[in-house]
Amino acid sequence: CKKFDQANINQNAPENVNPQFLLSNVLAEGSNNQAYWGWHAGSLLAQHSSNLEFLPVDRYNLGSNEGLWTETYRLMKDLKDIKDSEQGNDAYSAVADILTAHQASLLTDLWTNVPYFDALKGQSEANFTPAFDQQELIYTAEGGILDLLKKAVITLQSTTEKIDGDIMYQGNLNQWIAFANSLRVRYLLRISGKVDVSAEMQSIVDNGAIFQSGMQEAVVPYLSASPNQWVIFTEREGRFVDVRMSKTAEDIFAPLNDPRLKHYYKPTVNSTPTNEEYNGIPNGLSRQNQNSYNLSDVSLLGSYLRDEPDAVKAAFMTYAELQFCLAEAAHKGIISGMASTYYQNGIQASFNHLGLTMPSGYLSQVSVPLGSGTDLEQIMTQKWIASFMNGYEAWFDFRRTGFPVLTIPQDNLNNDVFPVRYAYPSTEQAVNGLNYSSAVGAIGGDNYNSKGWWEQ
Amino acid sequence: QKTIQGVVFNEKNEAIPYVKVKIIGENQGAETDEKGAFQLVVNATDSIQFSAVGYKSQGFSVQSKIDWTITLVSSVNELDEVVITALGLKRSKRDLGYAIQSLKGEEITEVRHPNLVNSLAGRVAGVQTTSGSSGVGSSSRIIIRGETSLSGNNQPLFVVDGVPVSNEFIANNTENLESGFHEVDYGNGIGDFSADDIESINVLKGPSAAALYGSRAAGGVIIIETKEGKRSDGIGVSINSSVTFEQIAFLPEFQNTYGQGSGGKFAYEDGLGGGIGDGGLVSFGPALNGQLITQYDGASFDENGNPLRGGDVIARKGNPITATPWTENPDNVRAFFNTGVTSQQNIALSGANESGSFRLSYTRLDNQGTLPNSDFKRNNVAFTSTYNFSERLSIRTHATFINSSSTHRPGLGYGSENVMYSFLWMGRQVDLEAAEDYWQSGQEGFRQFNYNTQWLDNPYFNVFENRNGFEKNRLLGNAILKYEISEHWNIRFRSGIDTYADLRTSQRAFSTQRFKNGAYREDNVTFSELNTDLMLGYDNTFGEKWSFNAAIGANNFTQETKYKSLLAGQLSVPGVYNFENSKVALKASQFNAQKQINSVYGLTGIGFDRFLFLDLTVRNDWSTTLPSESNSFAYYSVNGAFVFSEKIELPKWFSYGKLRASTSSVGSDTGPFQLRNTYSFNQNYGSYPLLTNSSTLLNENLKPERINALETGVELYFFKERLGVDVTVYQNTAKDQIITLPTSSASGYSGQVINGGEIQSKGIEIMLTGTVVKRQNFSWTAFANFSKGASYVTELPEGIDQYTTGFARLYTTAENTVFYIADAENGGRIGDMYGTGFMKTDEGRVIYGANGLPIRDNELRYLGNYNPDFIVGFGNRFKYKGFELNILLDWRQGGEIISRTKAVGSTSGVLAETIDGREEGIIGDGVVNVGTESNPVYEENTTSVSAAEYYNQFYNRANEESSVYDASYLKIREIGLSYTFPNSWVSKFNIQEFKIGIVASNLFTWTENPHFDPELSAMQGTSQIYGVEDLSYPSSRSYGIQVKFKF
Repeated sequence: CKKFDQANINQNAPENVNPQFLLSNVLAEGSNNQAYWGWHAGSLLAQHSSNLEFLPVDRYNLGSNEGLWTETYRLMKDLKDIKDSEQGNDAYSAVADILTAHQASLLTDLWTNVPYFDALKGQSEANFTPAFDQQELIYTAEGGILDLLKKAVITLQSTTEKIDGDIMYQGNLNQWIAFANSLRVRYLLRISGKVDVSAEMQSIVDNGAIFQSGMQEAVVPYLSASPNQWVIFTEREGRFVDVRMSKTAEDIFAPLNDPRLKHYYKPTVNSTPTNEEYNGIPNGLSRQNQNSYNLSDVSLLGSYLRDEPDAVKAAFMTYAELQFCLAEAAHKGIISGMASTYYQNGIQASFNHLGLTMPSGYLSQVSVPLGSGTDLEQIMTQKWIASFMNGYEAWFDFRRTGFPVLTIPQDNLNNDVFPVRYAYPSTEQAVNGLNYSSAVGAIGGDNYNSKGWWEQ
Repeated sequence: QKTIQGVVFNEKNEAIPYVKVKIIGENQGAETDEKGAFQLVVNATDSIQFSAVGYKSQGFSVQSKIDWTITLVSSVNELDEVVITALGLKRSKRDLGYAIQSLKGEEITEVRHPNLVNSLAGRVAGVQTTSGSSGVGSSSRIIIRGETSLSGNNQPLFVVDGVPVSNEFIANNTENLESGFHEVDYGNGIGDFSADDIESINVLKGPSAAALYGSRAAGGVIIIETKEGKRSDGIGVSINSSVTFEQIAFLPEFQNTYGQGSGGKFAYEDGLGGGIGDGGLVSFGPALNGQLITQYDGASFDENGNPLRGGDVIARKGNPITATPWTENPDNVRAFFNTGVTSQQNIALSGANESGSFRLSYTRLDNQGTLPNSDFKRNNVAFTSTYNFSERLSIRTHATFINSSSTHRPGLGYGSENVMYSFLWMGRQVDLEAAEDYWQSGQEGFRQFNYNTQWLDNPYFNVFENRNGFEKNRLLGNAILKYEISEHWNIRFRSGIDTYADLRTSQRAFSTQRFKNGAYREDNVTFSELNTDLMLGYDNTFGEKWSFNAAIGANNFTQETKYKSLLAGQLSVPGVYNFENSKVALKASQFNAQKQINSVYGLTGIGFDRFLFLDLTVRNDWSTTLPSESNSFAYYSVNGAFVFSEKIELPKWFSYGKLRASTSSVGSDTGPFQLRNTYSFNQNYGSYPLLTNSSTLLNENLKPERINALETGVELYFFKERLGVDVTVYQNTAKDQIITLPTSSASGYSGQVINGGEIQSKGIEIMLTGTVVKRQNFSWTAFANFSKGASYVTELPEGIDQYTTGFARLYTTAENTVFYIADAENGGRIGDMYGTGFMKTDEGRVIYGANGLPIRDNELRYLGNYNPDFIVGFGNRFKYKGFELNILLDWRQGGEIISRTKAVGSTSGVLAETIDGREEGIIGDGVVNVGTESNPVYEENTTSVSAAEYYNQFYNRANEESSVYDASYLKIREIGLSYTFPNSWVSKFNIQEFKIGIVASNLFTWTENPHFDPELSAMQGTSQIYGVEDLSYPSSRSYGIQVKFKF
């Protein structure tokens, strides 16, 4: 038996670790969250898919999604530890800041005002009851999302340090610069209704250090071997067959000759090989009201989402998304340039991302070319198609632009209003009550309809 | 003058040592030896008196008698009873300044509970027991005087023959491993013991009584003395045999009017949504009127025309299913359960002579559970010996080897591994008979056959294929070496070990919901605890009146725990459960921990004239689990007793009176590794290792906990001791508790380890004992005990405005959580539960939306408290000649429990009460706001919604308010009727004792809710939780026969 003073040294796990292991963890878990929540919630809220039995989200009884809240803060703590690590360096810090910015945007766009500037100080300052910060400050203040990204770019441009454990870019810092700038475009556009972001976005575009192709996009692939397989590949059958093509998707794809339809969804059971049918079911129907649909006439989701362990690419951000952001910015005059060029690049990039070939003539078919006065809707619709299963991105875009036009679920439980946030986790009420109460007051109620700053 | 000699026996013909034989009126006397023998020089005119602690004194005049055989009758009451106190010291109960309660071995073997803890229910005041939900072999929890500590498990320390033993249950790790494996209860440590090997159980209730045992005894101590060999002619043999049958009580009350589906429609095609509602989980389908509908057990055929069942989906290849009558199956769930059988067989051999004794005992417990294929087996071999090397040097050794095992322990918690989940989401029309053949035709080993393949596992498949087996080998041993240095000095060395290895194997077949390619897992727990104790004692009397004893000693405690888990999350070949068959990289989880406590202690006791007694104890512990600058902590206890009836002239009917008081201050440490944070290993990404922050922030500045206890009581006996009253009031104040406090995860951690605020527990315990009727052939004795207590937060930890001490999940996600909040503004009682519910008007009316559905409100509100208001135990014993009837009632009043069975079964529409409104719809009782949010105008809700919609929203699982029940119950805990054959008759066959009886336990329970037994505990993650019912298995009532032989 051990000596008395040695007995309480924990031999099971390390007290200090090299930052590379934490970085690998954040990349693996963070990207997985994108795909996982894309399947479980984002695609329902954006109406890429609809649900049959597990209906809370689809009927807008959203709850708090406390699991994601807790995990996101834990990842942010991992990122903080990368920055604080004695074995770290400038490059690690900058990369950690980029990922912190991404996680923070997820928090504030899902819950509105959230603890940010006071957050993660339990260990360092014994602050276990962090105050909630305004979304505006989280995006725009010093140390906020945009500031972190901007400074990270500057740091990475000058550093000679190296990082390990980078399962996304294998330590290529130029890729990180492009990712950071692309995120800046995303977030500048997100707040562009409130702030004039034109100069900053233009300079990012002019500088050119943004995604130049799909090769640079921020994607962490699933692997063929366990335990890094796509979650639905290992999930029970029920989880897969419970999710169906939505009526919204059916309507959006109807006028298009678009191979992505056959990729994202399966033909209905009652289809014949010569006459493949792709049908959706409206979102948020009560079980009883689903009875008027024969499920054999409703499409499941594509087989790549069930039958392959590694066909799904968990994306923080794709090249296609950047192109659609630029298209929208150009359309709105935030940046110079032709919206249609960015738009067409985006469509092409989406096909490339999925490993599909864009049919010839795709860009010229009815409803695709811009210029008929519905450019924004068309851009957002193509972006919506490209954002399939990418976290909550398509939902954020819908909340911001109202496009594509979604249908309020007939049996929703939210008074016929599209929700814009999750409720705060009830743990915050229980353990951070005073700050919780003032946050609830600040946003106008802890319900699903209290809009954040950028979408007011 | 002459010398007389003799032997003193008790009523059972056992020799009594240490009986004082005194010449009345003189200062001379003798004492009986170990064999009950004495010699004394007397005059024929003398009168002599025989007195011994625990027996009625008897006096005789000597006259000419030389050889004496005396039988002393034990005292009717417990006045002078000898009890075992801390460190195994035998004390007369009348000397003690604190509450202690004793049970004899016979009492707990009257109706033998497989888990020893359950034997204490109702019998001991202030004790609260909770049974595990998975039947024989599951954990039973025991709490004395409520929860003083928020940390730890609050359970008392168990001590066997003076040596602490483990009562812990080290659960399988449920983190970091493939989701899908549910909590399994493999039983608490004390459940391993056989009641037949137990001589007595002494319950030390307060910290005062337990102060000498150190920090682990803050929740009280249960002292178990094992049986020793008794003197008899040759080798004594005793046989105790019982067989009991268990039948489930408390199945959820189901409705039998509507079957599966929604909106009155259903058709089975593949159980996966291919028909109408056949992948669905709710029973709001067609009324069960015998109409023809396709079902999973309807007839079909394969491509060659061979008969198949509808659910043989693969072989059927879409061929039509013959529609069958849609009828009720009210007993479909009940019929799934079996009549359980528990056989407990014990044989013991014993013998003794002048120089020593031995007892060898073998107990076999065999249980077939009420859940098919679940079982529990236990073999106990116990050997106790005593040997006197000389007049002065003696040794006592005890060893028990316990082997326990099971083929299958049921999965608990929420999800497809719990068969109750399969039933609460099962269409009410399902005839389960077809499900017994649980493989699809032609798919044996690959595809299960079930009524719903989208979400549920076939319950037969679940219990026969997806097993959680275990085998545990445990060795307990202790040796006590005692040396009498002189008449007054003695030295005692005691060492005991408790060690076990528990191998748990979990296998999952192909096509299991959570493991489509099967899985295999092994969890290995090894544990050892060593306690070594050396004590020097002194004992003397000074003059006629003063008695004095003192001891000093030192103790070392060393505990080591090793846990290892390996998992093959997918298998290559079905049906082969080993790691070579793994299709994927194995996952591992490992944790080793050790802990040591070194202690020194001292105690002294002073008695004056048999009516005043004072005890003092001090102890100091050094624990490895605390920071080195604060790892030493001292504690003390002082207690005194005043037997006032000895000094004060009382009326004749007032036989005895004693006042007692005690105070103590007890320190406590914590578990291993609570000081410095480490990072947790995550599963690798390819060849990249991943590490992440742990969720709890540890604390390098921990101080020891401190519990200050005050206790005072009175013991009174009246009417020649036929009525006894014992009242204790106590107050425990716990400071600096080491607790993991939930925190905002935005702080970087979702919990932090702290020294908490101050919690005060107060309570009262009343025990009544009485001999109601006492005749030649008939007697009726009764006891009742009452306890009431509660704990309140009296000081919050620094920087905390609301004391959230923990939570329990009511669903797999965090969405549905019950918080334990001791909110100072609301009284701050420990055990208060908070959760979400409905939006309400100021008058408390539920607010409905325009859609006719109640509106959920995210705000936490008070739901109830999980602690009872009071507990009553009531026992009666009737004796008529050889017949004896024992009845024990257990009443728990108050407290709330939040039920997931209620939430799930209401949402799914299987519970009886969901019948209401099926045809006509439901207009919820409440109001609708027709004004604005800021200026509400409420009108009565008049919107009718379908029953399915209503129940779905009203019992929404993200809403805890709707599923609260009163947890009160009254149980007939035990009934035993026995007949002891007359001595005169059995002695003809050379039998000493022959007793047969019929026994029953948990025969009836009265409680508010019709669906589950509120006594059962739930298990989440690695701990048992309170106030929440989590799809518990039906508890059972048992009855059977018991036979006892001695020859």
